[in-house]
Amino acid sequence: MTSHVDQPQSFLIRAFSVGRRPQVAFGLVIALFWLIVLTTVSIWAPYDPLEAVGTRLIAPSMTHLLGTDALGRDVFTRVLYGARESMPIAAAVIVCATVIGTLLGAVAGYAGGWVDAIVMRITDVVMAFPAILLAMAISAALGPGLRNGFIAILIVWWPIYARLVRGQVLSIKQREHVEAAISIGATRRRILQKHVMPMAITPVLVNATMDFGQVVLFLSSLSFLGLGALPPSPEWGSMITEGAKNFYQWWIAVGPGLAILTVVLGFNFLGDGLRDVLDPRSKGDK
Amino acid sequence: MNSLLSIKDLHVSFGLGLETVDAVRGINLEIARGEIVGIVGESGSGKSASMLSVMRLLATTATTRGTVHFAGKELFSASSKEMRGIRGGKIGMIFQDPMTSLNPSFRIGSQIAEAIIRHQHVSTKIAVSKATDLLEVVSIPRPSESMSLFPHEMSGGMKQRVMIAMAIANDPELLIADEPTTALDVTIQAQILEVLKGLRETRNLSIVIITHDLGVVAGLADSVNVMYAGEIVESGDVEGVFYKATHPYSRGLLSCVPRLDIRESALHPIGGDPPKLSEKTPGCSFQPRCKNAIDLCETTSPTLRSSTVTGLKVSCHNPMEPSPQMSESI
Repeated sequence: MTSHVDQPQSFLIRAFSVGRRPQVAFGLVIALFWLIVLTTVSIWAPYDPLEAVGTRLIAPSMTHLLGTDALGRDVFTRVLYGARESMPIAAAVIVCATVIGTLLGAVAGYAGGWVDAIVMRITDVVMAFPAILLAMAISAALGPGLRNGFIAILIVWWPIYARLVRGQVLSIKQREHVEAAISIGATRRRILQKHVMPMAITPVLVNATMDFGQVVLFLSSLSFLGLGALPPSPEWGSMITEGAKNFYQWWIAVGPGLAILTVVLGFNFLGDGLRDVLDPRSKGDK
Repeated sequence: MNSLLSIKDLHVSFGLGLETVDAVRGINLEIARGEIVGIVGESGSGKSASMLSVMRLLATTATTRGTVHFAGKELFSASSKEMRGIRGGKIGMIFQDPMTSLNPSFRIGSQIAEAIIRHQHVSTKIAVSKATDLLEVVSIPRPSESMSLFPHEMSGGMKQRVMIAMAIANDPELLIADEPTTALDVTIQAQILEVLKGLRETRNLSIVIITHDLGVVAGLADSVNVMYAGEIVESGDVEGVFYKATHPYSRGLLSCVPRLDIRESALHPIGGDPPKLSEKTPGCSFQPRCKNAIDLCETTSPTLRSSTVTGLKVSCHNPMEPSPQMSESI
């Protein structure tokens, strides 16, 4: 007889045990793969991403796994290098957006009153625009380039977290342990830090993980439209633009397209797994 | 005047949409050092609201009137910084539901230590050792091991003891216990009451105990205040209120308690409903439910005065006779 008593397990083991949730393991593998590519690509990449290494528009072969583009550059190498363009910026967007959103949302939710009203009206204004249009408008105003793309996405992204955290804080601050903390004389700041935020942060972590893929996609969309990365740099979105210009050379767009697909999918799965572990109410194991 | 807590003409009202609900309607209360005072009454009679207002813990929709002096200091005019020093420092509070009053994400040891560090500004090490001693005071078995438990690893009674430990962590002069035993079963209830009694003896702690359970008051309190519709209708020492109560409502409350020693199976519920606290009537608020009501009750609201017969303070135009049968049987 096997006992069904749950042994206390490390959080990571529970999160990523392959048997239970294969898609989480898949997500983890993809994330790790891109992380390794990101950090080590310059050491082992077969070609230089910016230089012509063969004839223009060669179909995929053993020497050029994904063929060459209109300028004779190796598409496979450029896809690998693309990770170095998109992923650090996506990570920066996520970190900044969660920090800004969490701080503003927490203060708004806890303080209430006019502070809350001001912060929430700002988020309303930002969220009233379709995100991609607003981001396009901002990066068009600032001029193309990844740095401006970063600023544009950050501006449309933080309100999501502010709303999320505010909602959490509103419900948690009603709980009795918060009243108990007030009754032992804790300061507002301390209550927010120790008695409210630890419980509000879980959905933020889950959302941040899931959103990472979305931000990569968003950044590529801007680049695709010519507003993100500037031409020679191997950014996935701008590579797809080149692919669109050379429509019959399918390999030029398929490489970066697959890269974006795997990143979005991988981080979605990872976020799912994280939620299963962090939120005891939606236990993923059946 | 050497009372520790002195409440004068306290009014609490809540704005509820267009109407205001007058939850507490002018109560006066004096609590001496080392005294245990019970406040009893049914739900909504204003007993919690009056004590929460002392701690200034009421929701922002509430407005208060009157004065509260604690150890010579007026609390309603104190700054929020001073209030934070008083909450948990000079006045400790225990809540009704120990299940939800602890932060589920921290070990209980660190939660008690937090209260100590906040008020005594000592090192973590000293705070932890003090917290361990406190667990011993509230009779938690194996205090040092229990320090590292999470709230969900403890039973309700244990959690309530932890709450008491937190409330007394900084040697408060007054402990407000808001229905401390309501969520617990009777055996645990008795243990918690023992803990509270012990604290009064060892630390000369004043305790205000808010409850609807007359048994709790009988076993613990020195004096009792019976509240109805935001007013104190009868008050006096515990024996007096239990044996010689003359207010029809106090008597009604006492006869609602199931008794095993009297061979009479029927309980005597008080008929009717408590008045709507948003409406002001000229007469006595208990009058519509009162069997003893006379014409005067409908038009004039009675005031709390000492009764020459019983030595209790009672707010009634036509009090009942002290029941001889009651004093014999209890």
